[in-house]
Amino acid sequence: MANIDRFISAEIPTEDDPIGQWLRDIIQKTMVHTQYAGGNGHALSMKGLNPAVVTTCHKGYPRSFQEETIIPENGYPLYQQRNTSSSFTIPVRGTAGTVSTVIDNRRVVPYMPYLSLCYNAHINVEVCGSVKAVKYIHKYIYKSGDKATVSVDSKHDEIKRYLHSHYIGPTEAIWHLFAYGMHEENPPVTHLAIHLPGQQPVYFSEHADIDRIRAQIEESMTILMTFFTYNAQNKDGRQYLYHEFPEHFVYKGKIIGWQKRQRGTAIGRMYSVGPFMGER
Amino acid sequence: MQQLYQDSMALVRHFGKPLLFITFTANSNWAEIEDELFPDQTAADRPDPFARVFHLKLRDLLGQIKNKEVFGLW
Repeated sequence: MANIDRFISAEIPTEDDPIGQWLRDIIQKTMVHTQYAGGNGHALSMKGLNPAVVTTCHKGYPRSFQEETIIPENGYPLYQQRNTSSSFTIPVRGTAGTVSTVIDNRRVVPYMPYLSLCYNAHINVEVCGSVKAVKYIHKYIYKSGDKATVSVDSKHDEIKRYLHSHYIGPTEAIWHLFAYGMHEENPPVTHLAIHLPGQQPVYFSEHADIDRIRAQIEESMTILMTFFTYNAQNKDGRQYLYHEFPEHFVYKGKIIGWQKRQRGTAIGRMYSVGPFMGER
Repeated sequence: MQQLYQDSMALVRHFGKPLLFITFTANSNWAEIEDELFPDQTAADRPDPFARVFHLKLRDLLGQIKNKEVFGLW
């Protein structure tokens, strides 16, 4: 708990030195969940909820006061949000500044003071309760944008049927134009094929004649076959299992095969074999 | 996407569960963006410096975590 509090805060900063005042300004502008503040029932986070019945929005704000940070059974930590006098007022949205409401610690989104000071931006830092976060990232980042079907008026129905596209915002469009990455993983994961002897995939053109196909079968090599070849010829890799091999050796393609790793590391992952896929 | 998911679960298998979940959002009031605006423009009119500035800051944030170890070595 003390470790969490060292890095993450979910309260309005109270220090009165220049840095504390600066941080308080940043937190008040970027790290406060204000959508539903002051009974704004039209807030996005109140969609489908009746403000007269519920006390919190979809995102759980305002939270309850919390004397100290705890991690409940479900793994999602509740950060320290004490009932102190620190608060500030903001105008309620949609009232053109005529009505204001008080914001206290219960509406502060968890942040790391150092990072907030560095970047003056919304940086939400949370302790991960479970591996669910990994799945969440995939829903969020790896998928492409929202899909839409665009129909172009023409007699060619085939085109109409195949024209699917998705819309993205201008910032994301520019992001792609600059070829900035959408995700990054480190260390790299080496995919390890699994198959029985003689059952490796062989690719050939539909026009290839029998000799060409036969030659292609002879030449075919998979990462698994090069693994066996390497260990047949060398003794230095024999203590490692197949999935441990990429940590110590680098796969250089089917012609060169494996070489002793000079630097860095990688994680091996064998393709999963389901019970319905037969013997592998 | 399925393969990427399997890859990241391979990383979880190796390193254990993720410890932190950090969301970094751009701020349209950053001076680096505002300096690039022409008169009467807002940040929403200029996605180009917006993306560049955010990309630089994102790289910097990753550097702070990976090289400067602002979260220490948990």
